[in-house]
Amino acid sequence: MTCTGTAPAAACEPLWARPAMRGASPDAWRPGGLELTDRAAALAGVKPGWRVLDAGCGTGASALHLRRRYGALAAGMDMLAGRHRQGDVPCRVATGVPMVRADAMQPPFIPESFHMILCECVLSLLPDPARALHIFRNLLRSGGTLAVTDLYLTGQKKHTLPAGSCLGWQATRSGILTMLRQAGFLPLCFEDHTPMLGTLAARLVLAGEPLCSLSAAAAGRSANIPHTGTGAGYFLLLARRSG
Amino acid sequence: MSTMKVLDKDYSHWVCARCGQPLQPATVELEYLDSLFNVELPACAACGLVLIPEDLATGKMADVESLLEDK
Amino acid sequence: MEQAELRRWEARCTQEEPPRCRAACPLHVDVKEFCTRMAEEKYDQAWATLCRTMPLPRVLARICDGPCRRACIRGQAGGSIELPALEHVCAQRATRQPRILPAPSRGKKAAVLGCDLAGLAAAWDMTRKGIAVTIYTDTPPADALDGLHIPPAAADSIDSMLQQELDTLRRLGAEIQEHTEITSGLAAGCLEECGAVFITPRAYDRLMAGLPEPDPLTLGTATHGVFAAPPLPCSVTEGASPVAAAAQGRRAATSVARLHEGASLVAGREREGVFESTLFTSLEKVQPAPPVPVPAGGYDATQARNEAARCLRCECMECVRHCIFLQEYGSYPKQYARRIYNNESIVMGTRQANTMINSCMQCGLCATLCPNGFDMGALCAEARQSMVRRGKMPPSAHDFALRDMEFANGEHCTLARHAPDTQASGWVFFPGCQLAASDPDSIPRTWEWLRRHLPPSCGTAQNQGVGLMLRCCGAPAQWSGRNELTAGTVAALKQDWENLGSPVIIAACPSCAVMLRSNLPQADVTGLWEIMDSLTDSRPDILQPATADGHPAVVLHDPCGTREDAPMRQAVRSLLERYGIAVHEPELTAETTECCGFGGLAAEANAALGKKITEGRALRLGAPPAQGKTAEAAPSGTDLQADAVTYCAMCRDRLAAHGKRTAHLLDILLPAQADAPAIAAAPLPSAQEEPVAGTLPADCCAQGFSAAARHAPSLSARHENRARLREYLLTSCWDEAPAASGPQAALEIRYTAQAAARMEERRILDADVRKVLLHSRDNRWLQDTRSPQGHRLASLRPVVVTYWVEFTRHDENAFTVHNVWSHRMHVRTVNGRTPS
Repeated sequence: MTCTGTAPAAACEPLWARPAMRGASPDAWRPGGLELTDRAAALAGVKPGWRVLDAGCGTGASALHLRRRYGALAAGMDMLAGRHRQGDVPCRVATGVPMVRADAMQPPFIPESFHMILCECVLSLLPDPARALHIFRNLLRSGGTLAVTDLYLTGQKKHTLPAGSCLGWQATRSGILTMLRQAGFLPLCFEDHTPMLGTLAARLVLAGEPLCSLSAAAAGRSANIPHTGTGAGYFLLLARRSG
Repeated sequence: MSTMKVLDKDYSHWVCARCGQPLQPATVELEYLDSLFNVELPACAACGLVLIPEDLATGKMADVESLLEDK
Repeated sequence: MEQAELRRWEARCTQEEPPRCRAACPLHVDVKEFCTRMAEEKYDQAWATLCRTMPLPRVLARICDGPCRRACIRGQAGGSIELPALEHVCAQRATRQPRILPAPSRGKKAAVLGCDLAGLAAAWDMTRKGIAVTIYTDTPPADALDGLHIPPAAADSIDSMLQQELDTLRRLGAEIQEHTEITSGLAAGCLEECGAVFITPRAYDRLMAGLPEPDPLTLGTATHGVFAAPPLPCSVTEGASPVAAAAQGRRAATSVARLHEGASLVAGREREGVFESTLFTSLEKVQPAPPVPVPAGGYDATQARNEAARCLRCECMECVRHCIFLQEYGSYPKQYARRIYNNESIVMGTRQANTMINSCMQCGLCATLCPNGFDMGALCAEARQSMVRRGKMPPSAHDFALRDMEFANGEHCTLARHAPDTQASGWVFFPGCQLAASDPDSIPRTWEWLRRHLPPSCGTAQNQGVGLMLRCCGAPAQWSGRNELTAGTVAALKQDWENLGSPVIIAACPSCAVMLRSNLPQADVTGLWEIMDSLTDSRPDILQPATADGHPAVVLHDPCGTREDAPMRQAVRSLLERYGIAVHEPELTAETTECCGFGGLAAEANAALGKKITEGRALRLGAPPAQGKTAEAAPSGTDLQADAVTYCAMCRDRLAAHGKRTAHLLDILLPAQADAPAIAAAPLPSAQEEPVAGTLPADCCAQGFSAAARHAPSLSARHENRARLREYLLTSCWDEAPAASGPQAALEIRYTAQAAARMEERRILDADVRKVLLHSRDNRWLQDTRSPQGHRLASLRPVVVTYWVEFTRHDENAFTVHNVWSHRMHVRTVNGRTPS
C-alpha cells in the first residue's frame, strides 16, 4: 500500500512494513490472516496435489499454510520476494515455499497450469486490476478457481481518494463483480468480512501503532486501513474461470 | 374398484322403519379425506339408509380414518 | 422447516454429544461402553470395545496413561474412574482376540521413518487401509516404547506383548527394515518411491531441524507428501503420554490415506483430536464414592467390577427423564426434531409423527430443565401450524376441543356485561371456560366477592364496578396450530373487552392469563389470586376459608401456565399461609411444575397418553398407587398424603379423575354457602338405580377437604354447566329470560351405565344424542326383528361426524339410550344413487 501527498514519512510507510504489524498479524499482513485463507480454501475445496499460485504472496505465509495443511503444491509470486524489509531488518521468508520474484502483470508461468490462484489484499494495489484479472484467467486451468480478498466500498457515495491508495480503485461490490465477469470469470460467492478490518485496527493499536495514524486513514490522506465508519469494507470472493 | 365385504354377520333381519323393507347387501361408496372406498353394507333398497354396526365403526373404520389422517 | 432450522434445533440437544471421557481421549475410546461391560465382567466384549479404536491394543491397553481421568465427571463425585487399571485387567482376562484383517491393497505405499509407538500406530492404521508400509529404523523394534512411562504392573509382560503386536503388524503386511540409518537422503528416496513419508518423533530432530513445525491438524510439512510428528512434551519423571503418541501416528496415517485418495486433508477432522464435549450430565442425585484403590499388582476381578460400576454412564436425557410424552416415543429431542423435519418433507406416504407432534403438552418443562433451553413445545407448535397451513392436520385430533371452544364462545354461553346497576367497569372478572364447565357455582359468588371488596378505582365514581366476561380465551385454537381461528377468537374477545371500556382483566385461570397477555398486549391482565392476596393482606377477615378435618395441609400443584408467572404462584402460597394451611410441595413444582396432560390439547389428541401423564402426576402428588402396583413410583415421605389443591379447573378435574383427591383453591378460600342455589347440572339421568360410578376411592382419607372429593363432570355436563351459568346470571342479575330452547330440550332421555361410559369414552354429548333422537321421530330408524329387546337404531350426521344411537322408545318424547358410537367416514352413494 503506497501513499501520496506530503504527509510525514512515518505515516506514509506502507502498513505491512510497520513494526506494529509484525506483532499484530504474525503470520500474515492482512486483515483476517490465515483464518480467511482457510475460509477461501474450504470454499474452493482444495485437494492435495492442487497447483495453487499465491499472487502477491508477501513472505509466503499463505502458500506455506496451503502446502502444510492442505497438501497443495502452492507457490508464491511477489515483486519484492526476498526483499521485504521491516525498517532495516530483512523479513524471513517462509522456508520450503517455492517463490519467484515477478510482477503480477507479467507472471513467468505456463498458461493453464494452476488449479487455483489466491490474491489476498493485492488486487487493489495493482495499477491495472482489470488487466491483471485477464492475466490470472489465462494462468488457470479450465474450471479453475480464483480467490480474492481485498478492500471495497460498502457505502453508496463515492469517496474521492487519491490514486494508488488502497481504495483508489473505487471498487464497490457490483463494480468488482462486473470486472470479474468481463475478465471471463463466473462469480461463485461474495462474502463480507468487514469486521476483520476493525479487529486488525484494534490489534495494531494494542501492538503500539498510534491511533492517530489510523485516523488519518479515515480522511483518506494516506493509504491505510480505514475506519469502518468511512464505508470501507473487506470481502472474500470466489470465482470460477468460465469457458 | 371392486366392492369389499367388510362384515361377517348377516343383517337381513334388520328392517327400515320408514319403508318397512328388510335391509339388503348394497354397494356403498364411503368417503373420508378425498379417499373413496366401495364396500358392501346392508342398506334399505327403497330409501338408501345404510347400517353401520358398532364394531365396524369403532374397528376397521376408525383404523382407516386414522391411517388417512396420518397421510 | 428448512434444513438450516433443523440444524439449529438439533444443535441445542446435547444427547448425542460424546461423554467427556471419550472427547478427552486422543483415540476416542468408547469409555462408557467399556465400563458397562467391565461392570458386567464381560471381558471379551470389553476387550472388543477397546480393540475397535486402539492400535496395538495388547500394548496400549497396558500402558495407557488415561488422560480421560482429567475430564471424568465422576471426578466431581468422589474421584475419576481408574481407567488405566481397568484396561490392564481387561487385557489380562480377555480370552478372545478380535480378528484383524488387512484391507485389500490398492497399490499405495508409504514409508515410516523411525520405530517408536507413533510410528507403529501409523503403520497399524495404514495397513488396515490397504497401504503397503515399510518402517525404517536404526534402533531395534523392541526398543519402540523407550521414553514412555510403563506402569509397574505391566513391566513383566510388556516386552512379550510388544513382540506379539509386532508379529500382528508383520502379518498385516507391514515390513520393518532394521539397521537402517535415517538420513534426509533416505527420506528423499522414500518420498520418490512411495509418495508419502511419515517422520516419527524419534526421527524428527534429525530430519526436521531448523524447519517450521508441521501443521497441527494434518501433520503436513512444506514438502508435499511428507508428514512429521514432533516429539511430545514430557516430564523427566513421567515420560511422554503413550496414548497421545499413538494418536500422532493415527493422525499421520489419516493424512497419508487421504493424500493417496486425493481427498481433502482437512474436511471433517475438527474433532479428530481432544475436544470439549457439550454433553450435559446432572450430578444432582449422584452419591459421591471414592475410587477403588489400585494395588501394586493391579485390580482383581471384584475390584475391577466395583470400580467399573462407579461409571456414571454419562448422558443428558434431563428432559426425557421428567416428561412422559418424551419417554413415550423412545427417543430424545434431537431425534424428535429430525423426525418432525422428515414428517414435513414426506410428499407421498405416511406421516408417522403426526400423533407425536400433537401429543406434546407445550408446557415448557423441557426448556426449563435443558441446559440449552431446547423447547419441544415451541418445536411442536411450529410443526402444528405448518401442518394446518398445508392441510395435513388430522381432523380428529382437535375436533372435539375446538367444538367445545366454539360452544363456549357461542350464544348460549357467552356474556360480557358491567355489574348490575353500573354503567362502567374498571375491572372485569374473566373466570375462563373450564371453571364454568367444572364448577359453575363458584363463579357468581367469586364475582360477587370481587364486587364487594375491590375498592373503586381512583377517578370518577363512574369507574367503579367489576364486570364479567364469560368466554374462552382461545387457548385450544392456539394449541391446535390454527392461527386464523385464534386470531378470530381473540378479535371477538377484544371487541367485548373494548365494549366494556377496556378494563383491567382479572383472570382466574393461569392459562387464560398467559393467552390474554400474549394475544391482547394492550390489556392489563392480573390474576385473581394476586387480587385476593393483596385485598386480604390488610383485611384477612374478608375471606372465611373452608375448614379441613385434622390439621390443614395441602399438596400444592402449580398449573403449567404459571411456569413463568412467579407473582401468581407467590400469591397462592401467601394466601394459603395467611389462613394457616401448610403447603407441601412436590419435587417438580414452581418453574419445574408438570402439566396435568391437558396442555397443548395433548390429552385430547392422544387420550391414552393423556391418561398416563395425569396418572403419573397424580402419583407424584401422593395419589395411592393402583391396585397390584408397588409404591415405587410414588415419592417417599409422608408429606404427600394430604389432599392436593390447585388453581386451574382443568388440572383439578383431571387429577381428581385419575386418583388424587384435589380441591380447587376457590373451594377452600371461598367455599359455597349451604343455602346457595346449585347451578351445576346433575349427572346424566340414569336408567338404573345405581349412580354412574365415580373414579375416586370410596374410603377417602380421614383428613382433608370435602371439596377434594368432588368428581369431574361428564363431557355433556360441562356443556350444560356453561349454559346454565349464563341462564342463572341472566335471570338473577338482570331479570332477563333466557332464549327458548329448541325442541330437543323437551325430550326426556335416560342413559344406561354402559351408554354413559361410552359417551365419555367416545366423546359423544347429550346434545348430540338429542339431535339424533329428534331426527328419529320421523320413523327414521332401524330395527333388529330378531332381537327380543326391541332396541332401535338411529343415526344423524349434523356436520362432519355421524352419530349412532341404540335406544328404546317409551313414547314420542321419552327414550332410554343403551349405546352410542360414531364415525367420520360417510356414505356418498348407495348402489350408485345418493340416499334420500
